[in-house]
Amino acid sequence: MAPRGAGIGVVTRPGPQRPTALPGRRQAAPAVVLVVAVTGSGLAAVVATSLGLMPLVGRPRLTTDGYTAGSADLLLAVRESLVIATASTVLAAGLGLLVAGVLLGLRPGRGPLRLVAVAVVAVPHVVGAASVGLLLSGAGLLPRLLGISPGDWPELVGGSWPVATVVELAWKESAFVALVVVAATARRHRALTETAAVLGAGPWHRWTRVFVPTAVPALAAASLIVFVYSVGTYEVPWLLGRAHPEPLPVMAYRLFGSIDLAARPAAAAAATTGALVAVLAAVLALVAAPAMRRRAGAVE
Amino acid sequence: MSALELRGLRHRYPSADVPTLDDVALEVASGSMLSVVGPSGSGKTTLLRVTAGLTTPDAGEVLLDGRPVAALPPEDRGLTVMFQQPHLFQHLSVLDNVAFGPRAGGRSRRAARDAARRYLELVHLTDLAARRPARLSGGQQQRVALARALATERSLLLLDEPFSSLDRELRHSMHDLLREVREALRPTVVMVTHDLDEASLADRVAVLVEGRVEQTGPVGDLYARPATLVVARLVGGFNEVAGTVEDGRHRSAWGAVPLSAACAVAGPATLLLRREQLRITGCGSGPGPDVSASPTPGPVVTSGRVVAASRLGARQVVHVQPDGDAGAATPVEVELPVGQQAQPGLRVLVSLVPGSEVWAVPGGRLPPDHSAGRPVRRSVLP
Amino acid sequence: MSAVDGGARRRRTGRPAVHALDVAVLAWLVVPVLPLLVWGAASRWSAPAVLPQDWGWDGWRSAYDGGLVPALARSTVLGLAVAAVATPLGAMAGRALGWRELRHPAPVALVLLAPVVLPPFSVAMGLDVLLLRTGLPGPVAVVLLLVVLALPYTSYTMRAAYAGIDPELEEQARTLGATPRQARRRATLPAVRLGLLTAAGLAFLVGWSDYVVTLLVGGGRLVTAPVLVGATAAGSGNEAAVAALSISSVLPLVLALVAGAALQRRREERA
Repeated sequence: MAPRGAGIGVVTRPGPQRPTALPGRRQAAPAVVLVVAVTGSGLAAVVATSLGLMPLVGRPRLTTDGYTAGSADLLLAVRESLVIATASTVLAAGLGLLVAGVLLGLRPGRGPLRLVAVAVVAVPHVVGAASVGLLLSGAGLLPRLLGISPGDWPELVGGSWPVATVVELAWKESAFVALVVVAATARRHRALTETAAVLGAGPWHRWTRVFVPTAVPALAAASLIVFVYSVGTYEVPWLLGRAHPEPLPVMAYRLFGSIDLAARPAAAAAATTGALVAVLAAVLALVAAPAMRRRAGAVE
Repeated sequence: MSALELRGLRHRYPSADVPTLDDVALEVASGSMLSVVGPSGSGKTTLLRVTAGLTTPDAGEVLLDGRPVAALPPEDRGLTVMFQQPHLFQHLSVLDNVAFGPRAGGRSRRAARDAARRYLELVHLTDLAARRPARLSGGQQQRVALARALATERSLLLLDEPFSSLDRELRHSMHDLLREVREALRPTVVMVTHDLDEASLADRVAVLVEGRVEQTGPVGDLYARPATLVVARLVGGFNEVAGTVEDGRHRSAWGAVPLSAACAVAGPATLLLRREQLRITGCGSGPGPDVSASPTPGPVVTSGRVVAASRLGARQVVHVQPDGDAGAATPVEVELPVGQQAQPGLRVLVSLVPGSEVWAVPGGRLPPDHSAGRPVRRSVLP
Repeated sequence: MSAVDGGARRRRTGRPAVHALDVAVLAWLVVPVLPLLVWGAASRWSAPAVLPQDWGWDGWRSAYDGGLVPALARSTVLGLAVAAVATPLGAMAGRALGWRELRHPAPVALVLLAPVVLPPFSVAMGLDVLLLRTGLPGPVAVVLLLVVLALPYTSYTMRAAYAGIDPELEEQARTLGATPRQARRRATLPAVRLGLLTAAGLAFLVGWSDYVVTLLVGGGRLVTAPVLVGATAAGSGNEAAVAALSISSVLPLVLALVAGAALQRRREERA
């Protein structure tokens, strides 16, 4: 035992922090702080505005007028948003699965199709909306190709059903869904398909019993993202939808830009409601996820 | 002065109940090689990481060339590590991988590459200097990793099971290479391994079990003079007989067996007889022992019946179920000389090879396959 | 070549080379942009003609006059700014998550996913309200919010990239004499460079293609390519200009994609 006060103690205190392991907390902090600060302050401001606490002029006064004054319109907007989001999600998921299946079955030399899918994801939605408008409107490309006169063509753009909006979202998001599913299943897809084939499963069985079940977790996650995106999208229904009823983002933006300063709380109320719908969908999905994972696990 | 000295090292992972390192002390002389052996989970790798500065111990000291290095980061400790995985930098050529250390040490690109070439020559890979690591075989990758470690020109080399992912033949050629390198450069080497064969490359071996050093010494000592039953079981190939030591003799159901003079055990003790220290003499397949009839090469320890036979290379190992009082014991393993064979059912006398040094360790019965509550692989020997 | 794929291949030599399903999928992905491609080269194309009556580049001229070039420049700058901030932040967070260096990773993972869930227009509206009070310059706020929207993509891409390499790689560099900085620069970052490139590309895309944030927080003063597309498409009778603007804002991305794919194929062939 070294004497007390000698340079070298037998037992030293723990050294400095593990030298190589930078504390993860410090690494993650900038991103986390930025997300919390920006979304937190933005949401707080929008909620406060919707409750009359941040008026452009005049005194703050707690009120639910933003929600109640135009409650009928607000409810219609919620319904319209839900219709758009649900239809887009269902279509994008189904078609995305199909695209993914084709992509996974790609033989050499068919790689460009994958590139096409990536390109579709990269196209800005506003461009997609403009193009779909030129495709589906009465004077659009599709009725021309089919030889149907504008008068006989159903009102897909700006009509009573948000068909063009849904088509645009389903188109772009199906490519997104497909890429997510491919990324999640590609590694095991080949081995699983081969195993199934060796066990005597034909193409249909390989598709329904092997590919689809293994794709479900990724498909579910991608579908949630599509749903909340479709609730929040502004430019697509703005370009392709009709004036009334309008989905939440369009309503919010229209009221926000209104000359009537009193419309601002209503605009913020629509924005708050949109955020609420999206968060609710996410929470529901998170609650349902464990059960889904269990089922997928039984297949794996 | 020791190149490396560890004093009172303790370490425990926050979530673990038992410590990974429990008061570990070791010394490694400059230019020598120490192997640290132990079953998986015994703390070997943590010991190496603490030495390298990659993990901070809860207590204790690491001294390199006599100076404490607790405050020094890994790059300033004057040592280098070779991991189980070669961890070659995929974006660099083989040559630039080897030049990594000299570059990090501040040398010019040119000087670093010149140095790297010398070390590639040492591991016989000069031809592959321009290759990408992805295009090398596993053995070649580990050779490059060795060259890269050596090129740092640091005097202490820590090896963390570096050859365990290679197949037998490659492993042996890496062992030869390591001998060459030690001859040429005389580095101080600490190698962690779970393979006793590999451990015998070293001048000395330390046995680590559950974070404690059970024994240190030349590798032959582990076979001839294990310090504890735990070590004996780790080494494998011992027959255990519980009993008591009095006046240098071990007394048990097998009678009184004189112990080696070097064995200073007294009181309850377990007799350890290596399977190659025993011989059998056949005496027919009748119902009773016929002890008197058969001449045996040395003192008889027990009689019994062969119940199983297996192979160990060119030799046969038979399991003999002892008769009578000793019958409750587990079968005795005997390694037969080359050429001798025995079938199950044969009645035999088991005797000691004349001149055997007989060893015993303190302590009586332990549950088989357990050392202090944790299962231990019965043998780490081939 | 596996047995299953090999079988498909043999079949292909006997039957039509292209499956109907492949064609249908390709059509679904390509047809929606066809009108843009035709309109991009049309001067007059009134209904119900299937092909334009007059081919020409009038749309491009009016797009140029409408400020196409500066709008593309603004979009580029915006994309680069978002990538420049969101990539390193995402890489740091992705490292902490991918290398399990956090004691409680779940809240961090959840916070970094939140921007995907929250509708951007809601947050953007709130920020616009705050801008008036704080005096933060609009473009800065646009970049900040877009960085937040890009962070889920960059951090999760980098999480996967880091999860794919052993943290021991960096320790190996340290024990070869590299300082923490050197180890990161010379050992770890090169190992995740494909992830970094992907993350930066995604972040760039968020900035380049954004519409609603630029419009709301930028207060209509920051006219990027998508904003210009939106404004032009909302009017009528200027389909050719819309097509020219749209093609200009998609073509660079497609070219980059094709170049990237070609580059990767060359690398694979070399290996």
